[in-house]
Parts: sequence; C-alpha cells; structure tokens
Amino acid sequence: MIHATLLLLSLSSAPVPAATTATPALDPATTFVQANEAYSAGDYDKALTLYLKLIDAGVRNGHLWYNLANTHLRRGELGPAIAAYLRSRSLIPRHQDVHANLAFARKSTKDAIAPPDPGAALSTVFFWYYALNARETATLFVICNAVFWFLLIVRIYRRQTEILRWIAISTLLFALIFGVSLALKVATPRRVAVVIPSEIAVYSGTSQDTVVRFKLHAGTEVRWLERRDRWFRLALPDGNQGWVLEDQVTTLTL
Amino acid sequence: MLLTLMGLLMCSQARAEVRASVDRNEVTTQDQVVLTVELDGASSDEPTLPPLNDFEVYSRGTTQQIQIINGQTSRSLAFTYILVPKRTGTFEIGAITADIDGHTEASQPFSIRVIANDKQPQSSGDLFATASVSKSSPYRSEQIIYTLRLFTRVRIAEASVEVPNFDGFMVEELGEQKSYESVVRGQTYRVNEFRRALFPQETGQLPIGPAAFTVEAVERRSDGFGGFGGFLGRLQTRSRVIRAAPIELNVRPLPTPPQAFSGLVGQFHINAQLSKSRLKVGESASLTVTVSGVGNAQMIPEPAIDGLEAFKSYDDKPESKIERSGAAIAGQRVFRKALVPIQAGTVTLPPITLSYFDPNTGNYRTAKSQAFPIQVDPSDGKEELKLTEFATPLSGKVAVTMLGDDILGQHTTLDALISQDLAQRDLPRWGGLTIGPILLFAGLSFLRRRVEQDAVDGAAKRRRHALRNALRNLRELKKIHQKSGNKEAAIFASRLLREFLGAELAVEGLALTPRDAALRLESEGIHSDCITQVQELLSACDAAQYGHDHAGILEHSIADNSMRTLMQRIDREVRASAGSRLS
Repeated sequence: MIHATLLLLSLSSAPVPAATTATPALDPATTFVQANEAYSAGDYDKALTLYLKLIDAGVRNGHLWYNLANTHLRRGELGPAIAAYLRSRSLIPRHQDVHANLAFARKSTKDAIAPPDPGAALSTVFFWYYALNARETATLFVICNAVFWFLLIVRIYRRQTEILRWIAISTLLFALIFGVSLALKVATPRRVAVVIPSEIAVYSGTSQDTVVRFKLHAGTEVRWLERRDRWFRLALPDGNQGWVLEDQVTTLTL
Repeated sequence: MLLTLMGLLMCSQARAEVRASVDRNEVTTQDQVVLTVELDGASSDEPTLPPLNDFEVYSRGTTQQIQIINGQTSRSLAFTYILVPKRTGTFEIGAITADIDGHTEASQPFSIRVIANDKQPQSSGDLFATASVSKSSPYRSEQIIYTLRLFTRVRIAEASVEVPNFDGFMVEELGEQKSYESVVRGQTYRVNEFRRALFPQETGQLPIGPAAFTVEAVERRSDGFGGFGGFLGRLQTRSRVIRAAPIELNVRPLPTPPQAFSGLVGQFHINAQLSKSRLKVGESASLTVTVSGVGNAQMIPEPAIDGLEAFKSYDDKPESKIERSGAAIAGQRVFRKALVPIQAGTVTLPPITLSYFDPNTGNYRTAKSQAFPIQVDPSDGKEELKLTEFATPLSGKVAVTMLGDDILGQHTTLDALISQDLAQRDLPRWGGLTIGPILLFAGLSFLRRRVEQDAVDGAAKRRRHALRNALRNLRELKKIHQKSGNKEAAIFASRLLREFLGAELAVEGLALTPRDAALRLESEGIHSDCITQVQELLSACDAAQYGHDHAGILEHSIADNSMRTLMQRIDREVRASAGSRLS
C-alpha cells in the first residue's frame, strides 16, 4: 500500500516526457513495446537501440533501466548491465527483480571486491533512506511539510488541542527526517564507477606512462573520488587508489 | 544427481509394498484367523503365500482401493484369506511375496499361536473378561504383551474399559482394538481385545491390578406373559461391571551386564553404510548407522563409533521410527554423520558394535556392522568443506535443487515511461510546494493579527483605512463637482476632509472646526504648511456651502490634485508620528 501510494504521489506530478523534445518521430509507448518484443524475440541489438532511444529522449525510469540492464546482460556486456542495474535500483529501490538480477550479474564478475553498497546495519536503521528514491523522499517531505503548516494554520483559527499539537510535532519530525534525507541524497550522492572493458589498468597517476598499480575486470564496482581531465580516481575498499581513463568506466552518482 | 536417485529410490520403496496382517495372533483350534494381504502398487497378481501346512486356507476375495492425492494416483489391493488352524502350537508365517511394478516385494513374517480349546477361559455366563500376559516371569526391561479381552454373547449398547495403572512398568500402546468371534466351550462369543506392551522397570514380584469393563448390556424385560414374556418383552439396558483378574509377574533381574551394555533388551541388529569408500581430503562422506529390532526400541542409544580421529565429524539429528501395529513393539533409529577426512591415507573404520540382552537366550549379545576401509586422497587445493551430502533430506523434507540460473524477465508495463528522478527542471515546482504552505501560514497569521488588533483598537483600523476611503471619495467628489456644481461639491468635500481628519486623528471628524483641526494636527507634529492648507480648504468648503465665493480654492484643489496630495502627506506624517511614539 505504501508503495502504491508513493508511486501514485510521485507519478501524479511526473508527466511522461514529451516525445517531441528529442526526436519528434519517437512515440515512447510504441518504442517501448517494440523494444520488449525485440528482447522477447532474442533481437537484443534492436532492443538495446530502442531502449537507449527512450533514455536519450529523457525517460528516467527504473523499469526502463532494468530492461536495458537485462538487454546488456543478454549481450554479454557485464559492466554496462551492472551500471544500468545500479541506476535502476536507485530509482526503484524496493523492486526485488532488480536486486535479484543485480546479484545474478555480480556473480559473473571476476574481482573479489565487495560492491560499495551500504551495510546491512545501516540499511536497516536508515531504511527509509535506502528504500525510497529521491523523488519519493521529496514527495514525502513536501506532504509532511504541507501538513505541518496546515496544522499551524488550523491552530490560528481553532483552540489548540493536545492531539493536534502531537500530530504537528510528528509531522515536523517526519518533514525534518525526509528533508535531511533529501538534502543528503542531493548533496552527497554515492559515487560508483563500474568497469566496462574485460580488463582495465589502474595507474598511479593521470598518465599512461605512470605505474600500473592494479587491474580491474568487467563489472567491478568501486568508489570514485574525483575527476581530473579525462581521468577518474578510484578507491578500493582496502584503501588502494588509482586513476583510470574515463572511457573505461561508467561513473554514477546515485 | 545422487539426491535425485535417492529420492526416487525412497519414493519407489514407499509406494510398492506388501503388508500382511491378521485379526489376532492367538486363537483356539475352533477359531478362524482372518489374514489380509495389502499390495500397494500397480500389481494385480495374487500374492504368493508361504507354505501354510498347519492351516486350512480359504480365499475370501479381493478389494481394491484407488486414491488420487495431489494428482498422483495410487492403487492398493487387499486379498483376504481365512486360516483355520489344524493343530495347536506357535506357527511362524513366513514372508508373503508379490510382484509389484516388476519387483518382488515381501511382507514381514509374523507368528500365530494356536491353543487348545480347553485352555480357553472358563466361561461365566453371557459376559466375562480375561487378562493375560505373554510371559509371566520376564526379565527386567523385557517386552511382554498384556492382552485384555471382553467376551460377550449379548448385545452391548455401550462399553468402557478401565485398564490397570501398570505401576512399575513402562507402557506402550500396541495396535488398535480388535474385534472378532471366538468359540468357547461350544458357545460363540464376540471378543473385544486390547493390548499393551509392558516393559518392567523393577524386579521381583510385580502385580498388575485388575481391569474392569463397564458395559450397558441390552436385555429383554419380562412383562408377565409367561413363556411369551421373554419373546415379547421390551428391550432395556442394564449396567454391568465385568472385571478381569489381576496378574502377578515375577520379574527377573538381568545378569551382570558387560561394560558396553546399551540397556536394550530384545533382539536388535545394526547396519551401517558409508556413501563413499574413496574421497579426497576436505570432501565429505555420509555414514548412516541403523539400529533396529524388537524390544525397548524407544531406548536405542547412539552406538559408539571408533576410529573417527582422522575425520571431522558432523552429527545430524537422529531419526526414529517405532512400529506399534504388529505383534510387539519394534523400531529403528537412524544416526547420520558427515565425515570429512583431515589427512590423506588409508583409514579403516572398525565395525560398529552394540551390546544388548536377548531374553530368549538369557545372554548378552553384540550386534556388529561391517568395517569400512576408506582411501583418502590428497585434495586438489586448499581444504574446502563440501557438505552437500550432509544436506540430504533427513526428515521427509526434500532439498531444493537449482536446475538452472537466469535473470528475471523484462518489465513490460508502460509505467516504465514515467520519469522517476528528481529532475532539475522540476526544482521550482518542488520549491513552490515547499514554500507555499509557509507563505500561506505567514499571510493568514498576519491577517489574523490585524483582525485581532482591530478588535482591540478601532481607532487604528479607522486610521489605516482613512486615506483609502478618502481617495475613493475624492473620485466621487470630482464627479459631483462636474455634475452638481460648487455648492454640492463643497458639502461633499467638507464632509470628506473632516472624515479623513477625524479618522487620522482618532476624533469625531464632522464636528471639527478649522481651528480644532489645526490644533490637533499641530499636536500630531504635522508641518505648518499642511495645517494652513487644511484650514484654508475647510474654510473654503464652509464658505462655499453658504454661498460665499470661495469656490476657486476648492475647484483648484480638485483640479490639480492638491487635495489628494495634501491628504497623502497628512496620512504619511500621522503614521510617522505614531511610529515614533511607539518606538
């Protein structure tokens, strides 16, 4: 029910992007159906092209990223698949299909590196932070904020009762929680880099003349710290760091 | 694959089965025994009976039962035979065999005891009860069968039985109540039989108290019509208590036991199986030890297994099965261990032994399994425990086998086209939704405060609205001046100005004379040129009302908006004065 409500709230103010913004001839619904049919028929090249068209047209939807990730995986592109699953998970974090397929894809990675996911304790204590996407968090913040101020308006015209006071305090608390969560999501997103080629070299500096510190393989997820020109600085869980060229990783801010 | 094969094997064993049962195990030479042979499976051939030279055998037909459970059809056939004993004695009935699904299955053997008719209990009328034990001087913990029978030749409407307490015994239910007919001294009785398995826990003289049946016997009441009375009399019930005599047992102690005595008394066997005789270090093999037998099978302990020093050993929960439907309590207990060799080499597990007391021979005996030589090869890499065999279902549950692994399918609803991110283009809307309620609250709070202030201080409200009202009336004044001429305009202007001044100065404006107005404006700190203008204007209005020709000043004030400017200035200066007073 909560899921449905959140979906409803988030959808009510989220119109389908106009197809005419990017490619005037693109009909999103038709393209999506065609992409799914191509996928079902095993034509993964066509499915990939059509899904990418929709994304280029501005559609930012977790289900679409999920379908794209499946298509990448069918084509044997582990890195792009995992990157797309991560994008999908950030938009539909409670959908079990995404978690299952991401886990499936991760089984195929070569490097024994734990993905930079939040720990079980963290995701249990701050469950709302990880179970809601940014839009849902914003929606809840706006609702709680509006209810709080509405209750204050009621207080102007009616004698304040104890229950109204506690409801107002509760909604203020929730508004603060969702507001802070939203601020953290926007201000400090998780930075994840996913390795795209089957193997990449990670250098000690922003030049291919520097020492190769270590190598990573397709699908491996690591944190990225900064960008300098065409280079990204990666950090492994054990603290080791190095630089990679931008075209060798997909960098995400989730 | 191994699990699947084992599962299939277990499945087929469970479905193809031959079961043989008799309605009673003890009869006289004048009685009959009903033998029922049940075949579970697809066979329709008649079972093969063992040689039954001591009985006359008559077939009583076949019944068939078909069950459909969870879509699985199972078929069972029951062949019924009547066995009429030819002589007295205890006769072992061997295994009854039948071909089921291409396999030959056999039933468990059992025995029937035939006693002479004169050894039957002395009858005492239409109703009597007997109690007997299979052995009057058993060993301690030896299984004996206590049999309680109720013989009736009258109709019984209702009956209940009160069994003895069996103090000093461990008691187990044995089979269901049986009902059959028996001939006692030429009379046919309906017999109801109850049995218990008793295990004496004390030695010496051990009594079993009397058992009692309370029955409601149906009788015909005599109605006084002589010989016809019994025939024509009405039916009635009479409550009667029928007692079976108590029994005294002489329980013998067990001889001095050996050190390894397990506490089991009866006939027991031990069987051990090892899933692999060759494995690598780190791999696991499953050792299954089954102890089964007749006697106090509930007490079967885990047999000691020597030679496990070379293994890591992981125990599983033992599995017990007690059979209570036969002539005596029998059962088995299965112990399973996962053995993981620690080092390479040849290891031999010695035979597993179990010491028990056999009351038939009066001696302690030792059941023994075979030895297991195991070849342990070095592992390929570092040790990795593979306990897959240990995960074999042990209690009827079946382990889920993953047959394939794949991703889950596409999401096909058009919801996938609705944006779910927090786009930058939407930020103004989110900001508006956030700030909107705050602004609404602020506005409403301000209005509320204003209303409250007005309620307390009416003069403040008048002052606040003074200029607005005056300016509105000034537009009206212009119209009146154009339409009605100087006199009407002067009346209206006088009223307008006085009301304005009254509102600004918080006094009754219409009563103000030019001098009063000047004094009050002066006290409010209004500039003198304003005061002078006000005095002139008021005087001009008054004069114009009464016909004097001062209309020029009024006309001039209306035309060049100097009256408007004057009022705006006064309003501003009065507000400034009020503000400075407050501060």
